[in-house]
Amino acid sequence: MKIQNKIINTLKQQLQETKDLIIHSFEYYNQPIHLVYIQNLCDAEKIKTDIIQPLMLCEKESKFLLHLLSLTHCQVIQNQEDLTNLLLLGNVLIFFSNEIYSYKVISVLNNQPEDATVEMVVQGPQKAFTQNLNTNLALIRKRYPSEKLKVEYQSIGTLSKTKIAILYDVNYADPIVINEVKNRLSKIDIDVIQSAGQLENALNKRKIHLFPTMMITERPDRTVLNLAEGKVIILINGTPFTLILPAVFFDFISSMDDLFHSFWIKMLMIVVRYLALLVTLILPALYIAITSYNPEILRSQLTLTIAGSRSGVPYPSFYEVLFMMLAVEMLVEASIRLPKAIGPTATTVGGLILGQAAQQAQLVSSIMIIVTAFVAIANFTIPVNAMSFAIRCIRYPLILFACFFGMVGLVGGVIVLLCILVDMRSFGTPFLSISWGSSDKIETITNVPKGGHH
Amino acid sequence: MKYHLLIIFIMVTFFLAGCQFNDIDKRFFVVAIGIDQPENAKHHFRVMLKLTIPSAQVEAGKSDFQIITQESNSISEAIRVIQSLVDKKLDFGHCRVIVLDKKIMQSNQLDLMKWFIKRPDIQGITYVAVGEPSAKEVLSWKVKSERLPANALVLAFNEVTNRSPYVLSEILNDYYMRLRESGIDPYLPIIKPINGSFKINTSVVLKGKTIKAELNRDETRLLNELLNPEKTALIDVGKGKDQIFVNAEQTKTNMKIIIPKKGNPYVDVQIKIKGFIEESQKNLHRRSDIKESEKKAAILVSARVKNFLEHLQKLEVDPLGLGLKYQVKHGITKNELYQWKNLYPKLEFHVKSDVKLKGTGTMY
Repeated sequence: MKIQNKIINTLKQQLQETKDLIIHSFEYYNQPIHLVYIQNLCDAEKIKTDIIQPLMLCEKESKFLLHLLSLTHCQVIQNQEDLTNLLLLGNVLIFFSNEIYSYKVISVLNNQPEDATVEMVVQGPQKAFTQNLNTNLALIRKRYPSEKLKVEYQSIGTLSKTKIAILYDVNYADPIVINEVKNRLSKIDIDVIQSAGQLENALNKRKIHLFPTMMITERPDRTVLNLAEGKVIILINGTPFTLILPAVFFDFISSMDDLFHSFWIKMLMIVVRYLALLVTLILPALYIAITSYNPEILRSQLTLTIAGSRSGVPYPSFYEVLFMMLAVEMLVEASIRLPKAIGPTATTVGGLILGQAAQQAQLVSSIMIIVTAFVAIANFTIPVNAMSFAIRCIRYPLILFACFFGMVGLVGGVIVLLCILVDMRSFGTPFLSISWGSSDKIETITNVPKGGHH
Repeated sequence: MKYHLLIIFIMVTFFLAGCQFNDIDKRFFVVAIGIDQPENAKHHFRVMLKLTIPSAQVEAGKSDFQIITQESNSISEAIRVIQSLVDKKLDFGHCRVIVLDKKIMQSNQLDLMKWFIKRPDIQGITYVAVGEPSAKEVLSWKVKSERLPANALVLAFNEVTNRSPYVLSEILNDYYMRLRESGIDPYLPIIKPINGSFKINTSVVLKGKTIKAELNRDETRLLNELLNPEKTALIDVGKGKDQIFVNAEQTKTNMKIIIPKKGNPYVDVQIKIKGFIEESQKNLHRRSDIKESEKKAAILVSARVKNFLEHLQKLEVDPLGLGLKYQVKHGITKNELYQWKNLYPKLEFHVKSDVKLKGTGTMY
């Protein structure tokens, strides 16, 4: 008995005498029983129904013990060193007849799937993942009832101890990729991990990188589709976003809607998306190259219109472009942060009034307003946000190139960009590789042209 | 520290720009160049540049421009002087029309054209034309419908926007080729300003580098049809009550120089026309009526083309490039060129035309 009290006292000390540590002591079967748990983390109702009530009903000690051990999450503790850990993970410790039992009674929060808000589709599943790992696993299991689906748990973060789950289909997933993922996960040295993007950064070998090499999605349907394509999924507790790897460039430009539409609609959407990608990438730089270096490219009608509308603008074209790009970036950033109720007002003020006024004040030409709007709209057509942000960034080096060398600089910049993309690897898969159809899904991933993995 | 310096360096360079950097509003766009006979006998040319004054609002008849004139011995010198007369950099990238005075075409025309060809920013598709009474008159003429300076001329010469068979258009590359080639002669359309618009339906043909003759409206049309088969032509057949008008949609002309062992050398001209009857005084009810019309039209076309070709022969000009065809078969030694010179005036023209009418009217 003394030993038990001693253990409880050490626990108290280890947890800094925290006030939400509940120690519940009473006597039954002529011996003291202690329940130790952290308040709020544990479900009090569950403790009552699963422990206290059966205790009252069982006349014999052995019967209660039998009941206790029959509970799914209950175990006898052999190693007394990780008692604090168990407490922090939402277990109740039962000190009873010279043994310590732990029983998981964590109260589950945020386990209701909500509507997808980041990655929306028109036709197709509307619900996103929840913030709870187990619910998310259940969502995937329901959509993918395969005996080949393997789940492995790990926890990441020395302080946060965030629970993650690695999922893959044993039939399709590439063992090299799986080993690489596990290897990299074991090397992660970080205190707190709370989001998928953070884990992606930690998993990436290059500390400074721009393009995402892992897909971040909140859609269960996309996750399951990728699972069937032999990819590895990482679920993270506490965030509705999952990581999918390896991912290639073309995955980021595909929307789940592509599967739900008929062929020609799908083709149109894809073509529009790639055109938008091109527009948002090069249009600002092209404007500089054309207006300041090579005005002979355009038809004379358009050239003279641009010349006319620019004639009052005092600064060179790249100031004009930078000014408007800055305005758009601020507008986008502001509309993310703003409460939903104020959002539309801000966009109206920023977009309409600022644009109109800037043109009337002859700070920018009217063609530049069109370019700006076009670029901003085109940027939003990229379905996965991570890529959309990356494309936003890559515009600026191209603008710089166009500033210095005009059309030649722009073309050179695009070639450099292509070189960077071609050089990239996502867990051994070339970033710009194209998988032709779905029949060769295993080959596209295992075919590693370079021996090494990035 | 190194890192910071690099960032500062990049930021500073951002405010600099290359030497080629010149904003669109700091450029004067030359839309047309005119070359006239100089008033001062010391100089060779009078160069005129038509410069646009761009405005944000583009409206019909509101095209604003400026003409800068400079007399000089060479064009490049004139351009340098003109550059000192204006405030912005001259940009020839949108120069689409070159108007020449008739008198200038007597003398060293090839050198003149060389300058245009060698200059990288003047496009090869620039239209070349003769201005009457002078290039200056044509350049300074205001067209009512014009939205941008010199745009009316560009549109008039464009084969897509203007399909009239009377408008003969000639581009710089082709004109230069014709000037230099020995087996083909140049031609140029004549632009005459009329009230609120231009009249472009006559042309000049050149022998070598000098003007040989002026072609009237009908001759210009025939030349245009023979040169550009895609132009839709209207053929008027018969007179008075029997008159019909045939709209030729497709014309195919095939010319071959045939030198038989016995008899005179001749040019075999095959013309195939497909079209329909656009206007007729008589009622055409039966298929046989149309067949008859086809025959009449074919005879007429043959006669007309033959007359025209003989007219060109008499003028000793060869804009259709029969000489080139001869060179292709027989070589281009001095001897061959001499032989062709003798042969051309003696050539006979055997014209055979085949007119196919699909029916009456567009709907048949």
